[in-house]
Amino acid sequence: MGRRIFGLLSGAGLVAACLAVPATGRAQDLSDAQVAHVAVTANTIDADLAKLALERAHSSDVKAFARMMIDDHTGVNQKAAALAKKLNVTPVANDVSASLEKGAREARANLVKLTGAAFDRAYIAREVEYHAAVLGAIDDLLIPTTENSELKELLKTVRPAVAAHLERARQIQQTVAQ
Amino acid sequence: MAAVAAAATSACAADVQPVRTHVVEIRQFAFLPETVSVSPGDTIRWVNRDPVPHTATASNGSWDSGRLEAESEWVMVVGGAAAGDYVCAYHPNMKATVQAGR
Repeated sequence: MGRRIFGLLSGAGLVAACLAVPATGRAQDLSDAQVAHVAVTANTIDADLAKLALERAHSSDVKAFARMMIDDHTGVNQKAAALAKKLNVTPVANDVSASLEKGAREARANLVKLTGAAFDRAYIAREVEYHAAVLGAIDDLLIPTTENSELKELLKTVRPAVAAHLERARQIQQTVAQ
Repeated sequence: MAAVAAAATSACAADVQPVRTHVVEIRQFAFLPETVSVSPGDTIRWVNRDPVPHTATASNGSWDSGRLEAESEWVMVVGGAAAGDYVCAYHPNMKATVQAGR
């Protein structure tokens, strides 16, 4: 399975670097508290980047996409926080979430240099890569490694959201490329 | 005797086409069921079971739930122009249909 994750993520450029940690064979070692931290981090990163996109995006489709990212990732994180509280689990920082944060800092550093249509293209390209990588991580790392049934169920509930975001980002990528 | 009376009442009600309530759950980024068949006077109740906000918005613009937060719902009484496709305005890939007739 480790190789499968690696193959999946290595195709995703920048995001591959930030999610490459589980590919080194540590995937099975994530505790539920660590999975919770990865999930919260992944949501927070994308909501934060969307706030930058709302300020800088040119296309109305890209702006609408950014609003959707803020709404959805904030909503999921509220549910995750409520579940963590109920289960009395404190999310624990780990290499995977640290790598996600590093990747996000690099993406932001690149995006703040851009404006207008160039920003739109770069932001949407990042969102396509990011959601593809996160979807792979949900399927191949987070769901299989999670032991608590309610946390597993939350991840399964979130999966269609990530898939919908990826599909929408790919559609918008076609329009901003023109 | 009671059963006979109940049957008679029910036959009577069928003659006047009782209004019905249709429940559409929004779950995992889909409207379930994807198609509801309605008659004027029926009600449709959309319940958002996802952790994120959605809408139920007619593609032709004739009706719109507005923002439906997680675990909230919206009820619409079916008027003459309710039939047609609808989407979630936030997630345009979520598509479903209100169909006229039962």
